[in-house]
Amino acid sequence: MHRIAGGIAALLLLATGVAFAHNVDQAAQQYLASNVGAQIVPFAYLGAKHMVTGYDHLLFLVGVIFFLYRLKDVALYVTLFAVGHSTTLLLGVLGGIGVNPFIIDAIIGLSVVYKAFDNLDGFRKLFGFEPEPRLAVLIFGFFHGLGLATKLQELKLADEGLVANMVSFNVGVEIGQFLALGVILIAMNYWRRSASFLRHAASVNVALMAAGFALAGYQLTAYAVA
Amino acid sequence: MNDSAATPAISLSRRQLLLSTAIALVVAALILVIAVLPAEFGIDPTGIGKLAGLTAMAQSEGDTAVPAMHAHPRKARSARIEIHVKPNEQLEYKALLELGEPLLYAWTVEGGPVYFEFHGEPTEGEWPKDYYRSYQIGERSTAEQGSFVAPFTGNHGWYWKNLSSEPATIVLEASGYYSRLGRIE
Repeated sequence: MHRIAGGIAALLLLATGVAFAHNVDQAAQQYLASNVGAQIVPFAYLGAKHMVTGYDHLLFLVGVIFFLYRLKDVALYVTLFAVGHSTTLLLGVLGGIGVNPFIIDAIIGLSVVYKAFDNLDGFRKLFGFEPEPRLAVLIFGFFHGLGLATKLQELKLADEGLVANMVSFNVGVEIGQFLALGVILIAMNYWRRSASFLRHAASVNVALMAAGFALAGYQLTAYAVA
Repeated sequence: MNDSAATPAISLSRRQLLLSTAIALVVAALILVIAVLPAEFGIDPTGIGKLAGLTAMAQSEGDTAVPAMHAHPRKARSARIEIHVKPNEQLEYKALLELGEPLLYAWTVEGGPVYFEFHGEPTEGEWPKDYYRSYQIGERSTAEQGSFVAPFTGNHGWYWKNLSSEPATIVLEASGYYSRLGRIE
């Protein structure tokens, strides 16, 4: 769609990049729309790709595992998120429930803000309470699944093999989630060991918040313009 | 999960927190107003987007894939057709268009209103059984017009359903590089 022409690279990168956030891209759309019957691996691949390339989601992951040290907690988070988005993805597609994708993406942007603010301990300090993070991850999973369900329905998938394809897409989302999480965890653990971690932790979370606000603003404008 | 007692959490004062949030909001607003809104939507309140050439991106969006002109060996066809529709009757009326061929259309309903779905069905190539693509749906309409470029070779046109219990007449005007235009039985 857009090509970066150099120059104000950092800003432009953000400006052009956002357009791709959480789109099941064009070639994939054609593929999905023209497929027949159950196709386990292609759908799993698309699910995984959606996760690994959806950087709004990746930002949320960075926020969530910022202060997660134990693998057990990471596994718990993944499970809760999986339960959340699987539920609404399957129910959404099978029940024909659709929500405006811009609104969903705006909520995903705000979830980045929420998590970064939570990392700054903002809820406890400013409002005297901290929302249950496990519940928040589950709810975020619900929204994410609803967004996916809406996008998949726009493709008018063939009824034949629909459930099998949904399930494999869902499994792919899980695989992509694990892969992305693995990379982020390695990077985070490496960073945590350096002395700079705590020094920069606050500013990184403020940057995350700014990115989340920008994503939400972008999606809300798209909603207002569309 | 985020056990703040066990993990070395960030400790900011209330003032620092509010300031941090404000900074995040201001940075986001600046990025949006200076770069994203001009580049994506052509909304440019500061004028910086125009200076930096970002608003041009919003205007040129979609232009890249489509050549400006498209020469043809023959002249386009055009037709004005009156279609008589019985009370609550439904029908399909379509133009056979090759991939990339344009169609200009306008239709009005005398009577009605009608429910319609503008859609296309491929006539060649590998497609799933009964595949069609929907372009536009209107729940209650009495007139539509526009231009269209076929995304694949096939029959592209309208499904109409007369929603009233009176007869209606749909007047369809179409011109373009179709090779057939007619009712699909």
